[in-house]
Amino acid sequence: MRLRIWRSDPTTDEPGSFGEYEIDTFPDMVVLDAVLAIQRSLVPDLAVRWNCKAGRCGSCSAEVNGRPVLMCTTPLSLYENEEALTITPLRTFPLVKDIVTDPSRAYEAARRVPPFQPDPNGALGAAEVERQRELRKCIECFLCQDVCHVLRDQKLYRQFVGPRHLLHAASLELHPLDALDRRKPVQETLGLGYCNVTRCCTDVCPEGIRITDDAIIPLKERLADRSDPLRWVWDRLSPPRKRRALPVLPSDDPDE
Amino acid sequence: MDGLSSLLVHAHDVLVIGAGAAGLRAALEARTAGLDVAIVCKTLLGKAHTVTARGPLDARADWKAHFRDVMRAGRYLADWRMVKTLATEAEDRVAELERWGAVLDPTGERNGLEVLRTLQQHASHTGIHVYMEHTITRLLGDRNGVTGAFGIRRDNGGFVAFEAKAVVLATGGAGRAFEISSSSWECTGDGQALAYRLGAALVDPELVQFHPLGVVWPPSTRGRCVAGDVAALRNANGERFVADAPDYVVARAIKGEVDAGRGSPHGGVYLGEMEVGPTAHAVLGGIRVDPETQESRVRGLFAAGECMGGLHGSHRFGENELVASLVFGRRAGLHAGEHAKKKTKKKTAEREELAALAREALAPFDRDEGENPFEVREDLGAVMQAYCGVVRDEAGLHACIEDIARLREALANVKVTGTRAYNAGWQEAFDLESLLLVAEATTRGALARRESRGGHARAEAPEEDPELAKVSWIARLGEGGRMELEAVPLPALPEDIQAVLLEEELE
Repeated sequence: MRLRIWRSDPTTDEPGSFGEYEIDTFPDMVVLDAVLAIQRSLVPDLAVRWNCKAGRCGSCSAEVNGRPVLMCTTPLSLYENEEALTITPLRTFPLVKDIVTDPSRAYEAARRVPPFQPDPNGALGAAEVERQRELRKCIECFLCQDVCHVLRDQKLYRQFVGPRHLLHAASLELHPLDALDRRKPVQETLGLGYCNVTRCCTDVCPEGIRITDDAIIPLKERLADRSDPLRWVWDRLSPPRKRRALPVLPSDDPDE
Repeated sequence: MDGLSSLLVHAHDVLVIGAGAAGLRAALEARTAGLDVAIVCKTLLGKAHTVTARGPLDARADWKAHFRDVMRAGRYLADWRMVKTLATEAEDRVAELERWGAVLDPTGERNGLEVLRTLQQHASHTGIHVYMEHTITRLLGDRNGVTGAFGIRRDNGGFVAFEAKAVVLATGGAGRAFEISSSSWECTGDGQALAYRLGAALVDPELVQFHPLGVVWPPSTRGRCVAGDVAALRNANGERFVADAPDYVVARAIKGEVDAGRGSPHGGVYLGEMEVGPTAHAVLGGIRVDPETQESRVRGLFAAGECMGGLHGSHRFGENELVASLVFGRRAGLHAGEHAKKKTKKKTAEREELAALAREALAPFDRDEGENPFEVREDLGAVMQAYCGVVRDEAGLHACIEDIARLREALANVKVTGTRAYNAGWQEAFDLESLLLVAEATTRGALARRESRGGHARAEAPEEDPELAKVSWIARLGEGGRMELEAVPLPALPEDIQAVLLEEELE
């Protein structure tokens, strides 16, 4: 099979270009196998970031024939009818070398999300556990950040943290054991309003998290609650609402 | 090439090497004590091998039952003091993790990711410095005390020196020494090798855990552990051959079928359509530490997590891997912090020493001819797989030591091309250096332990030798750079602890 891999080393003056390689394949070969085979025998200084090679760590993100994927879970057989496989780095992050990019921006964004604050009166029920599990499945591959128009095309990195971090904020905001109200920072610091719900992030999530429907829209709804003037008056007049305490199910206890 | 032109020097009170569960927990503890803490890790934060861990976290109110299970699983080669610490502190560590927002799964699915992410998110708001994609190649100081570390940042290949009052090693395992392994690429025994070179001891390095259900075919997922019913395994004749039993019994049964010519085409047995066999899953031996403080015999050098030895003995239950990282990570951070507080001054890294380390690190670029580092590692994997796997024998172990010496010569002649930026071949050469050291210690330990006990099996001695239940072997750097192995007695069990172990027999 023929692969074209983007090669560029910003520590030199050489302009970037595609390297073209022919490799032998085996039946269940994934894109990462192919790239590592090229690295091993043809291009030992080829930069590729990977770690678990089991779809669990989210390190080997790249764009294959223009689509952002995890290379370790993408079979070569998907491309058998195509002339060549073209591998390029994630476009939304600065390049380090070849197909490796610098995700520092995402780690900085993570620090803008106000952290978990334990609520001694909270209780975790079965339904909340299920919802938390979905929101907390994220492996931080940053494919959602890569495809988000607000970041990719409009480059509003300062104003908008991106889907991964809104997901993180939602997992905390909807966590029954968390005491902090994040509605203000979600709007002002994280830039929730910039998301126009195109669902591109959900489409590329390798964990199948419904980022838009289960994280971003619930956050927007919470914010709408707050900006609704009738709701504001009601909140002022009524005593502070308590979170409904749900019993902890025995099966939620790790000791069991 | 001028090695030090791009040198960066960072100074912190406590330097934690490794950002899995143990490293993050250590860093948090030292930071909570008010110290200036840095983590340096080989991959991006949040990608450590901890993410792949499964299994519930064993944390019980009844420490005695937990204690008995761990001692018994490890066939009494564990240091009982560490096991007692694990059993008595596990519950607190898990409760604390839940206070930080963790939603753990009683079935164990995804608990590694959950533990790692909770610690990562908790740490990201505490002012801990994180240096990602840095490889530490040497510790600074000497056998009397550690003063820092030297390494390479991957993005541009520049050199980095860290000055620190205390160093915590939490670099994980060394599974990549084996051809078939469930480890991620970064599990190359760096902590063990760094500690050993500075004068610390490695305890019972022969103890390696092989998971019986690793994929051997199809090839892309080779090494990965799969869940499955052991009793459903079939040999080439379609016969079932093993009942549910401890992992190492199943692993040996599979090897027995393959050796008898009843294996699958790729050297495993069948689990449905898949071919499976033993895969190197965890190293159970590692850096020898004080059971109270986690300090190695080098002052100021601490260890926790898989790179630490002494806790598990010759087998480990999956339920203990994450809690052990939390319990001993916290302790390492606590004592590293106390050590750092007592030390008033950091030692400045000496320019000459750093320049020598830089020259050494750059040597592979200067060779016109030389070995391909990827091929040398594959060679090592094959050697360890052949001689140091599930069942070991004397002749094979001697051959293994010779092969490791040959591969060390190959490493000394390894050639790297391209620039220093994000250079995979160069990285492989550093990883190999650590792997070869751990491989040699594993092999020498395996030669010394002439018995079969838990996960360690010797063909000539298929039974446990009661005398050998009283000894550990420690490997350390001897005269002339040679590895010395020394038998040391395991701590005797006090009467009250013996009583705890006996309680079970009475039940």
